[in-house]
Amino acid sequence: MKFNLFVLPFTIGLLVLFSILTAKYIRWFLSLSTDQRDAVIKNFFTLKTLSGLREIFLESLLHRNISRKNRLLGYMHMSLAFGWFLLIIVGHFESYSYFKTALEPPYIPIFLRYFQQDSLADPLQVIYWFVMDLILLFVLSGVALAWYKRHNRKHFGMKKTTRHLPADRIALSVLWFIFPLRLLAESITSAIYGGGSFLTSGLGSLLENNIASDLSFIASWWAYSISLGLFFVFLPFSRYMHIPTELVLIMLRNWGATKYTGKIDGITQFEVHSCSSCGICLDSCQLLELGHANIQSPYLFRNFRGNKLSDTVVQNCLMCGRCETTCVVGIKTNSVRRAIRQNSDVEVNHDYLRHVDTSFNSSPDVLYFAGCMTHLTPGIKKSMQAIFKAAKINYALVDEDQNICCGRPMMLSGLAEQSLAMVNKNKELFENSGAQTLVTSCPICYKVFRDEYNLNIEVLHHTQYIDRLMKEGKLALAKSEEQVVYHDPCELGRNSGVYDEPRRVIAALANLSESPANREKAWCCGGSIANAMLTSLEKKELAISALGKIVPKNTMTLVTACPLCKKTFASTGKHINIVDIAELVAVNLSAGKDKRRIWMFEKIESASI
Amino acid sequence: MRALKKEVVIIGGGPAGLEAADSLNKLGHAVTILEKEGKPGGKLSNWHKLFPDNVSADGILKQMVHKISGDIQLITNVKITKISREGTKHSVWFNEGKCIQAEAVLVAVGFDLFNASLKEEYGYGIYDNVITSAELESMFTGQKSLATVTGKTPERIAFIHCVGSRDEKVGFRHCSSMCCVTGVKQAIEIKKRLPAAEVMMFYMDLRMHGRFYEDLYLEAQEKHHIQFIRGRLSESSENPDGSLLLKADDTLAGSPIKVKADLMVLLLGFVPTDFHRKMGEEFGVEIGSDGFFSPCDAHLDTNSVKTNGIFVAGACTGAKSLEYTLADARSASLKIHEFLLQTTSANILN
Repeated sequence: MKFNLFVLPFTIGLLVLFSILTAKYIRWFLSLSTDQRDAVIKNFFTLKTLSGLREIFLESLLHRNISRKNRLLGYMHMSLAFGWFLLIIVGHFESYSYFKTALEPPYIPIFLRYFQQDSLADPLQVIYWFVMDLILLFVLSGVALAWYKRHNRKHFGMKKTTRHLPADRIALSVLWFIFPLRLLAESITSAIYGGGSFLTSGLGSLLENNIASDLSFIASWWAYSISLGLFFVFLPFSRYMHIPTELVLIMLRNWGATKYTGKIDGITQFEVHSCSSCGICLDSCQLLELGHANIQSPYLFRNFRGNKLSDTVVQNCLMCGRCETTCVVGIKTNSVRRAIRQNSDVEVNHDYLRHVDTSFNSSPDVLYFAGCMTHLTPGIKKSMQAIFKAAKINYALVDEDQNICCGRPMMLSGLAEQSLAMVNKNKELFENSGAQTLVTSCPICYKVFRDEYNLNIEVLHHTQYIDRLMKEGKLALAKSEEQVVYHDPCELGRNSGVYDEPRRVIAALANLSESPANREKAWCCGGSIANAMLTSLEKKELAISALGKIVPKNTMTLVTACPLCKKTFASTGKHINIVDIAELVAVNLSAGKDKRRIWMFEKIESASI
Repeated sequence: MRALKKEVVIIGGGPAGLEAADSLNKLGHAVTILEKEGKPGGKLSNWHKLFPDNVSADGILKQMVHKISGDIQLITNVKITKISREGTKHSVWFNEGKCIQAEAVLVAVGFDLFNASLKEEYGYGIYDNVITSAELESMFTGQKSLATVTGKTPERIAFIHCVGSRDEKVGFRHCSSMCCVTGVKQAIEIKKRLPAAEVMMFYMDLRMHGRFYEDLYLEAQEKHHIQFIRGRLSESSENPDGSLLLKADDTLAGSPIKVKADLMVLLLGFVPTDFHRKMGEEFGVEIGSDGFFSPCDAHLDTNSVKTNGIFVAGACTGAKSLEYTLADARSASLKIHEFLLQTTSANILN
């Protein structure tokens, strides 16, 4: 039997790792919802499994998504992951070619140069030595880059990086040691017994005279084994847990089992443990501008993993979704945060709902739900009413008097269960109307009606609805030469995927410029209802900063499609017209008659004194 | 003393500027007032009567303008472009290339009224029958008629306190301190003109801090039966007939209320002007968290700023009643006089 005591640290480490992973994964699988589990069972023996494996190869080994952000960063991750993977796989083939069995203990291919010291009269061995040296060099280049990156992250396209916990630091140091130690052990082996290729044999001849000895030979193999063993033991307790977990998450996603259930479940666990704390998302977080540097998604997930959640890390977030679009693992950061925020202990009083009358006297074709925020920006509501009238639509304003909130603000603050009474009352109201279309001016309402109400009625944001009315030729509009820029609201753009309709409407009415950070990269206005922790002054600071980045120099008018964005930007007091698309359309319908009321600033000028 | 005769430029021809011009002139200095409007008087020219004793604003203003003579020069329709400094001389540039030099500059630019459109939920600029306290004054002075847009005599009138004051959401945390008493004064005036009208005041708390203000508050309740409702307006909407539906919280009764009104008056807060920002950014004059000028010392020296030769007076250092504005202007005049005496003796010694 091929054995030496030094293989024990590696072997024990590997066993510990597998036991912990198995225990955790079984527990998380058991806490999947019935729907999620059914999805796994239904799709297991389908092509979806193959596409999952393909994605694992592309993302977990080649790191394609990271390469898209930055080539160097992508190469670094690929050389470590794919290189290590090749060392193991090619090592197994090499081992098989020598011992002609696939049933060797797992340490044999890992420490192959120890167990096969002699040169064989086999030309294949020389080729294996060369290939393995090449792969090791590939991995070592990644280690060198990783080390370089700790001090020069700018070259990797990152301004910020995550601050790591002690366990992560130890695991990181151990990881950095693994491959240099392997190089050392193999080089000393080569110095004493010969063999190896350009790398190990080359280094071996340098070590031959002063370092290589029986003692350093066995010590280096011990060191290599210990570094591996330590890394395996630390892995489940450090950010490196993402390595195995991401594989499972990718499969679950391909099986369609990751639908958000509103509470912390197995999927939440897989998502949270798939975060590597790489820090790529950090630069996207606007709260860093205010100096809030410990609440970003990697910190939320890490605190969740370590059971150390504080109110601040959970609540101080705009839920704008910017980090979600930059996550190379594709973690649903907003859903995870919502699940973590869920709090069943808070009681709410919904007594008033009993008095809300949900019957209808008329039979409208279209329902218009302005939304609470739109009631605070009556200019939008009035414009929509003018548009309905101009297009001769049989509509009903359903939240004029006894308006009920759509429920999303409560859901975002962790009171999803408590918001159900409101949701049900609204559903009853919509369904009693007999209307075919529900139009809302508020992207917050739009998202929840569309994605969580399960309505039998078509749900449209007013930008989509106006776009349709224009296509149908129901609005007589004329294009002006006014220069405007469009701001994508988080809830309409990034979080609901509505980008084109607003642009079509604006482009038909004015000259539309695009800000460099548009569509999924758009900035949050700062007024988010999901954050109750920021002060008014902080929100204002975010809004001023965002305006500065959005509005081009030659533009006086910013068009948006969210009452909350409108209000937040307007309250900065900056000399810029903040206008909703509905207002832009209504002013056009009235041939500019009402324009003076909304367009407060006529030309670009520094304020006169 | 007469031989001293130093040139002083006053920016702003409102009450503070006019009062300071008179005082400085009497102390022997040549004064130039630069006024952005076509005539002096500032916001006082648009006001009807003054609290707490209901004297005519116009009468007061006439007495002040009357004093502009002799060594006081008034230039109107001024748009200042730049202020620069060389040694002890200040140059104030205005109206495309014109320049005036002075030993000292007094900034008396007053305040702006809050832009009510920014509090969009109240519907100013969107609903026709929402007006500001300033527009109500012009109805009192007869420039406009005291009526709804359709010409109807209003039966129910609602006053909304703290519009643009004590409201971080619109960026102004400070109390403007003058709007409470203005509102009460205006409500009484309405009741005098339209005794049958129902008048409601939506307030957070009433800050009737000046002498006799409390008497005015009592008179409003007892004599005129004006209704005071403690609660902030949350939103308003327009009925088909153009009247307004107000939604508010009655925090004393502890319940939400809905009220119909024919006319809604927004009591606007005092906010800093664009000139404040410019003076801060370009001339280094210190600006407080409320956006108004911060003098060197809030107790001992309320008229100097850190930049030598520049002085401030009136409501540009925070909301003030006319009484305090005028006192502050006289105080600034004395401060400027001392400053000019010092520079003269320094020059002689050199």
